[in-house]
Amino acid sequence: MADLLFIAILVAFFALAVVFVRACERILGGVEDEVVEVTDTAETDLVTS
Amino acid sequence: MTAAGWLQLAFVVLLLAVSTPLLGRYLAKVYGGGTAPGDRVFLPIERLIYRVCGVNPESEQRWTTYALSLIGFSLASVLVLYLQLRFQNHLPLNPDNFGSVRPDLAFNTAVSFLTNTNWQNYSGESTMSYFSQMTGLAFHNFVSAAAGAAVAVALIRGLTRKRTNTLGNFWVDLVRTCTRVLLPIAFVGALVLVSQGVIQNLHGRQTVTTVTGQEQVLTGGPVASQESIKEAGQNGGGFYNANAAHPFENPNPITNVFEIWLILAIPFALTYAYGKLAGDTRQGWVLFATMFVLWLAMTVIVMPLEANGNPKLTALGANQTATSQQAGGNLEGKETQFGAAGSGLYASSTTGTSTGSVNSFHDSYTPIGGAVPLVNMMYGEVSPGGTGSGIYGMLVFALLAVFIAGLMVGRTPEYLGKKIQSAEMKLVVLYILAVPLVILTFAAISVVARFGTSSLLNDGPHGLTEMTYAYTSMANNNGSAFAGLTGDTQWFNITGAIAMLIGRFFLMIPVLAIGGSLGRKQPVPASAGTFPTGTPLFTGLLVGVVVIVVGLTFFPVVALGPIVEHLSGKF
Repeated sequence: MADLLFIAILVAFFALAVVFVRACERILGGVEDEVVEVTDTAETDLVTS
Repeated sequence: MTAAGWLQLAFVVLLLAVSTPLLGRYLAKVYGGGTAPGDRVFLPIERLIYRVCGVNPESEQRWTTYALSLIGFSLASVLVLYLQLRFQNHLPLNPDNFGSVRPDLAFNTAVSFLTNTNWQNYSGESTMSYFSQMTGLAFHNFVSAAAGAAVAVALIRGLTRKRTNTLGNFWVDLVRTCTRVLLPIAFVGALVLVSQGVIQNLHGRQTVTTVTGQEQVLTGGPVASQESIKEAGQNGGGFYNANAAHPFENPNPITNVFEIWLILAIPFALTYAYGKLAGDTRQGWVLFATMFVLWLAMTVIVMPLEANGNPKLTALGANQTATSQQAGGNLEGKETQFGAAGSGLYASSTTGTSTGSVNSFHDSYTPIGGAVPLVNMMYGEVSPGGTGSGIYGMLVFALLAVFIAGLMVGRTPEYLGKKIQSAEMKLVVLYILAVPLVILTFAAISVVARFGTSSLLNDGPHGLTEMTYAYTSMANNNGSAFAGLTGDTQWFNITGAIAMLIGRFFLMIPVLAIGGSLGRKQPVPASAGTFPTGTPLFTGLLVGVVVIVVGLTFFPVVALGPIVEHLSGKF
């Protein structure tokens, strides 16, 4: 029984890790297929806003 | 501190000065994608591994696929190790007939070796069969370090490539790190250790009669081969419970210095490799200098503190001076042949990296001396950190540093020409907050709940330090024990495993995401507003950022632990 519990914890953690990968992908905007061109004019975000 | 102590430090620095560019250049070729030294030997082996595993070495992966490969590999390998430990009594190479490892202990141990932590709530010589040591644990000693290197290389590719969606191939990086870096170093390292008296055999326990007529049980084992990868891969899990304080693991001052160099060599060399891969070696030297300053500063604090002895004993009239008759210094919990200085040097190196092996017991250090390994780990293992984990940790701090510099001058920060924007900064914040959150939450619960305090051997500030040290060590994947805490309980086995898992994978995933994000960007040319990152000024800023971030996060608990203990004088 204890073995099943610990195996379940491991599987659950790595399932959570997969969810975390998706969450990080969302933070990046989920535009995996696009390469992003950032120029000097893109300095409006973050610091100056 | 004695001249011998300073000489040991100088010798380690000299070895690092020689090995960093040599090994770094080799690492750059291993990860650079072109031809590399040893291709004739290694390529056929690697091709066989790829064919057996069904890996196409030519295919590249996006960061998400890279991360999912890491996760899939980790889940499969930790389950296999867990089952192996549970069934070791039915497996071969068990001359002392050790039984199955208890479920909660097997869980903690499997996670510990998966995450490159090697926190050990067991005594190796009385728990693990040789089969478990040589296959299960040793396998993870290699692949956990290789996984760290793979993640670091993926981030470096993201930083240095232009407009790409891919970061390399996780399986190729994992295999090449094992075959071309860790295995050769571990093999040569084991031969050096055997030449100095570290044992390598498959004998069971032997009862011998000592020169004083007493009977003593000696445990044999394949120690040298375990020892070399334990240090070279920043694993730290000792074959024996006494770890590198045991004479079969670390028999003399020569092996002590050699093992310290093994601990530090790859993490420092990766900075040089980074500079080569970035096409600007100054970038690598900046990271090297930052790591070196942090390591050296902590080392020159702890070595003299321990070498000067315990001031409380001096006040009572004890002679703690080094003479031909005694090693001198604060010798409680230390091996006399290494002395207080050699122990301090080892302690600073093993905790500045994510190694966690010990040649002395940090619990017995003076309060401020004991704070050094604790704070080293709180830096997040970046001075110089583990194989891969050190450099990716430092690169995350570098992104934070350029962000702060950008705030100062009012421009969007850049690093290697890549604009650092809000998405990357959110990931940096996730990276920096994950480990402190785990450490402080679990430590806070454990110092107030009976199931936590019942494991402590001391109360007051020293007890708080013992508890904080345990979770700091586990969450930062260091694995060294302060001692003074009975860790083999269900509470510590389970919460410790969770801390180790979060401290490993919830940092690796944002790192890969940062690499994926930066890889897609087109570098912009440096302008008048670009903060130069290949200069001593940036080194200073980076050191400052690391110290301030860690200070703001952990100063209260360090103040209540070792600082209060020092000021109260009760030690």
